[in-house]
Amino acid sequence: MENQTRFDLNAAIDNWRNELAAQPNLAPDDRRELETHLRDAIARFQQQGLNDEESFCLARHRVGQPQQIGEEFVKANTAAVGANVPSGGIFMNFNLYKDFLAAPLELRVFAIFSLVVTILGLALPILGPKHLLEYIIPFTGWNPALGYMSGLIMSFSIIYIYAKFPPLLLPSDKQSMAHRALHHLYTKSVTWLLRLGLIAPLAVQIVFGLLYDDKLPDNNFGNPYLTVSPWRPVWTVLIPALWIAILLMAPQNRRTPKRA
Amino acid sequence: MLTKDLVAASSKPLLLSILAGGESYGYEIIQKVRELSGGQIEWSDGMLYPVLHRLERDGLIDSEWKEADTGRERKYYFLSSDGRKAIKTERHQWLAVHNTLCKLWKIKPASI
Repeated sequence: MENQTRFDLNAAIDNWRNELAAQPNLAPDDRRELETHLRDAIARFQQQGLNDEESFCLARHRVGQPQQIGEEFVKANTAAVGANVPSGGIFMNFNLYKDFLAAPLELRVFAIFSLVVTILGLALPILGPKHLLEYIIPFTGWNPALGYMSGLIMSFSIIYIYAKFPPLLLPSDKQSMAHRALHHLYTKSVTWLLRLGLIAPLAVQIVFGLLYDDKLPDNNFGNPYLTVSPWRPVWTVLIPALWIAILLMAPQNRRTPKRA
Repeated sequence: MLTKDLVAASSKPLLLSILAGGESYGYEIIQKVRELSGGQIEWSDGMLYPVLHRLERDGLIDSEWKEADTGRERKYYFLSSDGRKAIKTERHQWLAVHNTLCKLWKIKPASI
């Protein structure tokens, strides 16, 4: 073949690869992917009857200048890193208010409900009218806010840990396949942990509600704290069960709590 | 030819929808877009990958190196379950724009 003696395709690709390797922003995996692309394009042009040199030049042109490609990758990566840049303060790199607004409606209503119940549950017995607990406990059980309080604490802890130890996104220009796989796993597991953190305490509350209803005596032995209203399952079983159903049906359009 | 802004905005629904038809790799995706758009949408090859990687980072697609029939390895992309959901949203939004324009221009709108 006349052309191949004058133009060495493999040497040309080697040169191109070296030029690409000089770009600091491209991970080895990115370069490997771009090279398969270049080779695909060359093969296609060759099929159309072009010689090696023409095919290479056209394919190279199509893929773009190495420097330009490097810059595009930086743009894409900084956009991703930007989401993880610390915003300062004790919350490190997540903005609770912004993430709250971006969450699905069901989750937001549940968060407010939990917060209100928790604050009331903690504050009223202390600050409220005397004997308030005597009136409440027959309907709510001993820990009216337990499931909601635990859910808040658990989900906050998970979000905080996630924000404190973000997935391996930051050195994104040096990401390998293993990094990405790990990142994916980490993000996924945090999402599942969060679901568990919200739903498990509610489930525990239901279990306790069911257990105690069986065991409690018919009369209160003169102790108002042992009184059980027939309406108690509304608070201990029905409402938590409703919340679980609502949370499970909520659209999961946000993968994690911290990404807007 | 589309403007740069429109190319950028439409790349996400296009990529997701192409991958909804089965796994694919960069070169094949570009060919497909060129073919389907009758040459109207021309993506520059090197720019496709940052977009793909971003979608991957957002969890909408996944990727895997696999050996093709030619014996060469290629990085194949495929849709994740989140990506499948994202298509619905994209579809809704793009059709809303499309149908509004159709009404204004008195063209028969596409069926949803």
